[in-house]
Amino acid sequence: MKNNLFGKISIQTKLAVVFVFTSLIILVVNLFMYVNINNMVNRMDRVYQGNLRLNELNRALRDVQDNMTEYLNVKNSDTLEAYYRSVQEYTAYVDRLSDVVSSDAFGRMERNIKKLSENYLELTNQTVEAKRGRNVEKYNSRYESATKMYEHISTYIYSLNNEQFNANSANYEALSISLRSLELVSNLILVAVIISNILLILILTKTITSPLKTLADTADEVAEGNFEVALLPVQSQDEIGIVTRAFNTMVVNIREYIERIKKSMELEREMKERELLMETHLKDAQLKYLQAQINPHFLFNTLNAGAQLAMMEGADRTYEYIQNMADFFRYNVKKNNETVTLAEEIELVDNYIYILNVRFSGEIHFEKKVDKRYTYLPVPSMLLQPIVENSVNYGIRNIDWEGKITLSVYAIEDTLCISIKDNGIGMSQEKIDKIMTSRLKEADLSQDSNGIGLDNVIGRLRLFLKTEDNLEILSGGKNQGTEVRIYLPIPDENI
Amino acid sequence: MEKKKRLDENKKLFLGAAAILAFVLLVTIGGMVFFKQQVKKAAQALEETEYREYDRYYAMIVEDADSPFWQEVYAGACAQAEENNVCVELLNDTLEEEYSREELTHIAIESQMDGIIVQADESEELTACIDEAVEKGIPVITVLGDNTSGHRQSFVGVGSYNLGREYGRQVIEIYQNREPASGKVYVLMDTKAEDSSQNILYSGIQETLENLDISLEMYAVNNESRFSVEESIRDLFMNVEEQPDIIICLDELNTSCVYQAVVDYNRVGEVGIIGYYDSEDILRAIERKVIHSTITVNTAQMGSYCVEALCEFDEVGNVSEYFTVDIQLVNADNVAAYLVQEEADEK
Repeated sequence: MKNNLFGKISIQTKLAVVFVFTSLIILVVNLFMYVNINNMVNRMDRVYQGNLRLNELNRALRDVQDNMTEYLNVKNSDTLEAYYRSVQEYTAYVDRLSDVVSSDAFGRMERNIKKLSENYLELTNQTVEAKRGRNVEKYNSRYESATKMYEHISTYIYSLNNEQFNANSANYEALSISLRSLELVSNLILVAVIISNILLILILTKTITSPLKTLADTADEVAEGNFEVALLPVQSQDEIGIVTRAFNTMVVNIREYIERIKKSMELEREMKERELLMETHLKDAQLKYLQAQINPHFLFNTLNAGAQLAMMEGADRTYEYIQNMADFFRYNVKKNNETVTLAEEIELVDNYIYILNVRFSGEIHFEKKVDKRYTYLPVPSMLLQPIVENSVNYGIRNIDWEGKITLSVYAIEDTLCISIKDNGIGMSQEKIDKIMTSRLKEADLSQDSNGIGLDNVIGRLRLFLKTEDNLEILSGGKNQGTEVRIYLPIPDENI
Repeated sequence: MEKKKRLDENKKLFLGAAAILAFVLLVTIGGMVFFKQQVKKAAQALEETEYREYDRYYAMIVEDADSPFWQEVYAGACAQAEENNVCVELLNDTLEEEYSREELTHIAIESQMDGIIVQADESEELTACIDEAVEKGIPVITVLGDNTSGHRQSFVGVGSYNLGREYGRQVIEIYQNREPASGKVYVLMDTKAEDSSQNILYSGIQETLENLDISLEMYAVNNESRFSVEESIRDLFMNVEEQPDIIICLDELNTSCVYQAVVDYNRVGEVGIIGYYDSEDILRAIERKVIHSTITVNTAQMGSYCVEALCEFDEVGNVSEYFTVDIQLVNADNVAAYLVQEEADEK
């Protein structure tokens, strides 16, 4: 279809076509004009050539007459030579005249001039001869005849010249009419070309600017924030089409990009939230700890002094006991932040159990099965001690049989399992669920709890590992004991 | 929907552009074609026409080449010449300067023409010219006026005696319709003319009017200088004792002058004019009854006889001495036909 064809042509080609076309037309018109003007000038030249020729003829004739007269006057060889030269010249001119009698009046006049001239030349020659022969009477009468004839020829030439000039004037008229019409025609064509050029340029610029305008409007809309604008239709395959397509692609890409940024911002926000939550939990734990241990430094220093006193007195067990307590409190003073190694956590549990065993006269049987290869793994601080404390307080404190707590650290494939198991009174599933969903009320906690609740541990663990199922509470039911299992992912190199 | 509209718009623009280009092409081509035609028209004026070549070349020399009379004679000569494939040139017309008949005859001789037709008289200079031409082998035909002393080949003219009788008859016609039946008749004679034709003509008139009570007199019209004809005719009305009742004019100029004088001196109806030649003015005057009648020669026949005579001489070597041209009378009865003819000729 023509329309598609038009659409496929690039703007450059369109502009080029229009300009080349109009330029070509102007060129053709100009060439046409020049050729025709040349033609006419040539014709005009030809028109007046006849007149020029006759003027030359007349001049040559005059030369002959003047030179003859001059010779007759002075009779020297110079003038004679001049006479012969002029005769030669005139003869040459006369020979070129036509001697045909035809319906052409000018031709007939030419013929008459020729015949007259031939007679005249003969007569002048005779006159000159007579002069040389000193025949005064003869040359005088011949001179008179020649002069008369000269006048006749002059008149003839003059008449012919005049007639030709009149005819030429008519020719000139015709030529000037055609020249005028040439002027008119070329001006008309030029005006037409100019007008159509303007129209073509208007049309062309319209095809260029109107899609650009739409494009600009749409771009404005996008700039104002409306990315949901309809994509622009691509009408042509020219430069505008390319720009429109690029614009469409840009709008689509901006939409996608904004979507992506939105998502990543949400993600970031989530992360920040989690971090904040974690910090809050830690601070909460520490606050509770500090509430419990009013001045751990003072206490720790006091205990240290007590330990040294016991050593001086030789009471080794007292010393050891106080030393353990000091270590326990020091841990809290020192590790008040974030991450510690599993080994440190286990040491804290050891200290705690020792203190409890001194306090409750060895009632608690604590057993450790630790895979030493994984104790370097980082864990959040105060992770194990609260669980062990829970086991002591809620599991084995009020039982009739011998309480036992087992701490196991072992790897199951790529997961490290930390298990704290007691043989206490156990826990109902309902209570486990409550703990797991952090719905255990403060009131449920016993008064002598050390303060850091299990839910705090669970929360911090979740934040630390960024997964949900990393702590498990298992219980066989009443008097069946409780097991708390913590699952840590083992980094790749240790599998 | 929008897209379709846009496509339509595009289509319109495309069609518009195409139309403009077509328009420009059309204007250009049309302009060029128009111009070419214009040039063709001009070129036709410039184009050299095919010329016909003639076998022989004759010169025609007359006294007053511009007069309608001689123009008609020349036209008649040309028509005849065309038929015989010869060319006749009215030599007076070709030259810008005014030459006498003698000089023109010289020019014709020097131009080596094949024949000369000359309105002659009996002057010696002309006789010499004619003789010179004949000597150089150029045949000479005299027309209207003869030169009997020279060696001209032939004479083409009006039979003067017959012409005189016709004039006489016209005088009688006027005379009979007039009371009192007497009259003074002047015949305007050319002073320059030395040939016998005027005398023959006069005697022709005289013989016709022999038994009537009419006094016939010659009146010499001076045509020595350019405007003397008119002056001497006015003299006839102003200074001559016996005023004319009838005036006989023997050439066109005299007729026109007498007509004008009669009108000027308020003598219309009193003076009967018998004119010569049938120019439009004269015909109109007849129509208005200022001029009674006019005698005209068959100009075309005159011209044609001249050429015929020359051709005959060229072909045969001799030719009869006289060619008599028909005369025609134009009066109030048949003037309408002549006027119609005149108008047709003008067109």
